[in-house]
Amino acid sequence: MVGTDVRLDEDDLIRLCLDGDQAAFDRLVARHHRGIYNMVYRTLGNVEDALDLTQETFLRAYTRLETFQLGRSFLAWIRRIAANLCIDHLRQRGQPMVSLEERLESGIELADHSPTSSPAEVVEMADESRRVLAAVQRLPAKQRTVLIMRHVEGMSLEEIARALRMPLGTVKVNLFRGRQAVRGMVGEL
Amino acid sequence: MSKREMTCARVEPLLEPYFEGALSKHQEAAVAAHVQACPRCSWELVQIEKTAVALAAVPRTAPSVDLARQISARLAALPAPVSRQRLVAGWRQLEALAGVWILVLACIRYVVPWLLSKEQVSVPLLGWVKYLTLTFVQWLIAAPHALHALVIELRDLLEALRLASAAVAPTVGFYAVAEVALIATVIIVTHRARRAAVARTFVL
Repeated sequence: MVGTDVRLDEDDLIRLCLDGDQAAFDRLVARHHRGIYNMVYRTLGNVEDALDLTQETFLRAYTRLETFQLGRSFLAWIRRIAANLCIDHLRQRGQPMVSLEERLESGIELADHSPTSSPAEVVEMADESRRVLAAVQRLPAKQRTVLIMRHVEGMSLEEIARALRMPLGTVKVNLFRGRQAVRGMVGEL
Repeated sequence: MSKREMTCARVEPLLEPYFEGALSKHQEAAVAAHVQACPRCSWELVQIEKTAVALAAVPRTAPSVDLARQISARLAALPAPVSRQRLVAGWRQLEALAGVWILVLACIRYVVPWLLSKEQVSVPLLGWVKYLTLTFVQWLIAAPHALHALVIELRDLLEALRLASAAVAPTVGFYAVAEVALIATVIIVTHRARRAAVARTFVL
């Protein structure tokens, strides 16, 4: 069964799920829910919305699992679902909401810092990140999503284009304009 | 406007693509040469880099609740997904079953009475031939128009029921039930065939 074989790859888990084994999909949820939550949270800047949309992302993936093409990246597929849900949500919400800074101050761990960084450098970097991310929250939906995917998720331009089903040129335009707008809002770093 | 300002004005829009490595080799070399010589554009490039670094250093967060368990609980309430292969296999089995069922019913309805009584039962037989022919011809013609096909199917159904009821009137009872079952089977098979045709047409 699924629970005992930790080496099952994602295609195997999806096949099992399509054969009626929901526990196989639970394994996929366990692998990816934190990453998807982070991506959604950074895009929306709101915990409640991020929790809702992360759940919605996996529910949508589950109900459309038969459309997933085996052999391709499940993570890329689910990121696409999440990104599209974020864009739809931001469009429906209208004005961007900036609550991330307050939430960042409520005890969230800093990640990806070099262990050799001094406490002062860590604090300074965290402050810059907050300012930049707060500025990102003010961007239009597509620019915001592209920027998060590029810099926070570390996806290549081609991966973003595939994930969002956008032409590569459109991804570049959104990225460059978004980054330029962020610099304009944040000022000198 | 000095020559260098002109050059900066041309280079500035290229700094973002330059940072991303999205310029042609010729443009890249030109921008690199300019940035090396121009403190203003060099500063702009550093700002782009710092923005990217700051974004990459955004704090990671953990969901405040047991999100995986919540998702699993909601998944349990949903119907399980079914692979396309299984759906197709299911339909093929149904079609095969329907074919056998039609043969069995046709034997019961037409062959057995004919063997027993040697009566001629051409009227219902002709009715079915007409119905099946019409249905499949209309399916072929009307496949791209799902709504239209549905209307035709309903019309056919009424016509077939009329013909069938007229045909089985003398032998109501078991044969009438068998006839209705036959109609239902044929409807299922033709509906499936139409759906497949429409799906092929519209690449659903």
